[in-house]
Amino acid sequence: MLELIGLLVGMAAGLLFPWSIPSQWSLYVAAGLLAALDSALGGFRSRLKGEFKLEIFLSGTLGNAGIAAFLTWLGQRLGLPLYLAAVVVFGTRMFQNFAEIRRELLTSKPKRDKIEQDVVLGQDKDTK
Amino acid sequence: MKMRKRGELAVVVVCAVVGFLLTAQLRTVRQTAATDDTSAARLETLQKLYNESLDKNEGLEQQLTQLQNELAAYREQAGSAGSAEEALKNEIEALEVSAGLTDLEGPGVTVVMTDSTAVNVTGDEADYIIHDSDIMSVINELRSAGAEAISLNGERIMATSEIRCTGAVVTVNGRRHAAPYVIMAIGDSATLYNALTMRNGVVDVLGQWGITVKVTANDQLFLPKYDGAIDFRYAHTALPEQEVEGGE
Repeated sequence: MLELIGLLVGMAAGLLFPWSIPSQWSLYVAAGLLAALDSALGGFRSRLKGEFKLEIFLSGTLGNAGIAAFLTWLGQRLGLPLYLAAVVVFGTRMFQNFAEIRRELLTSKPKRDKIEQDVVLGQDKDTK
Repeated sequence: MKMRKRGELAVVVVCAVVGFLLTAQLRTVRQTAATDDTSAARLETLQKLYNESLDKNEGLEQQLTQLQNELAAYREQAGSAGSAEEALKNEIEALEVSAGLTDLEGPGVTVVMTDSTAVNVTGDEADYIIHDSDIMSVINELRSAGAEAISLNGERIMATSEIRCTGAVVTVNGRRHAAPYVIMAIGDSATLYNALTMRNGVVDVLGQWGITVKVTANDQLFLPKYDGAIDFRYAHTALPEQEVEGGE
């Protein structure tokens, strides 16, 4: 739920953003967008599975975005659309992440109950 | 459990970044598409305007021919009326000949000028092509030798004609002509020929630059008339008596 709110806040910020992105940066933004989308879905998945680690998530987010930007830059220097590599990889992983999220959410009720219990317990402990 | 909270925050932040990039990129793409559309529309408008002015130009040319025919008919009528009008008509015809408004034929010379075939040693292409000044010196020499009518690539040289360098071509009477340049002049063919080909004359000098100038004497040349309109907007005849005459 919080993820959705974050997404909406970001979209609102993008709409209200007073400057538009120069066209020569548009490719980098697109590559970065895919990397961020992949990371967000990956983070959501690992949180559902309960195997989330902050270090792995942050290093993956920043590293993937960096490599995507680097590939785009290199591709423009070489005259070769290398950013397509990032597009393909992130696109494939998005489907994989979605499949795992789907499975996680649709698997047997006891497991889901357990996750909710964990979350409730976590909130209780934090409020104390 | 504090880890969990921070992890959630990180995912939310990344989600916010996704949303921000998504909308910002969408806006940029939409703007680019809009500017592409406007430039395409502008191109279309300009093309339409160009076509319209082409059509208009064609129509005006037709109108000009028609009016010239009408004028000829009026003169015919005026000529048949009496001896005074006959004299005026003859004068108009004589003036038209010197103004370049009638097709002319007679003996003369043909000068064909082609760009230099010499090896380019200076590295500057402009040293080896024919310039407007080269053409003007030939025409000046022809006039000096008594040429009565001159044309360049079929374009009649009149009193108001310009010969001007416009890039790789020259403009005469507002129309562009490219090499090879064919100059035809009606006059005494022997005099014209000798005037051009004399030692240290125009042909000799141009030949030193490697420009090929071929002069041939002809028994019969045909020079087309100037087919545009002559329009004096600023100059007016000074004497009132002549104004009456000119108005005929």
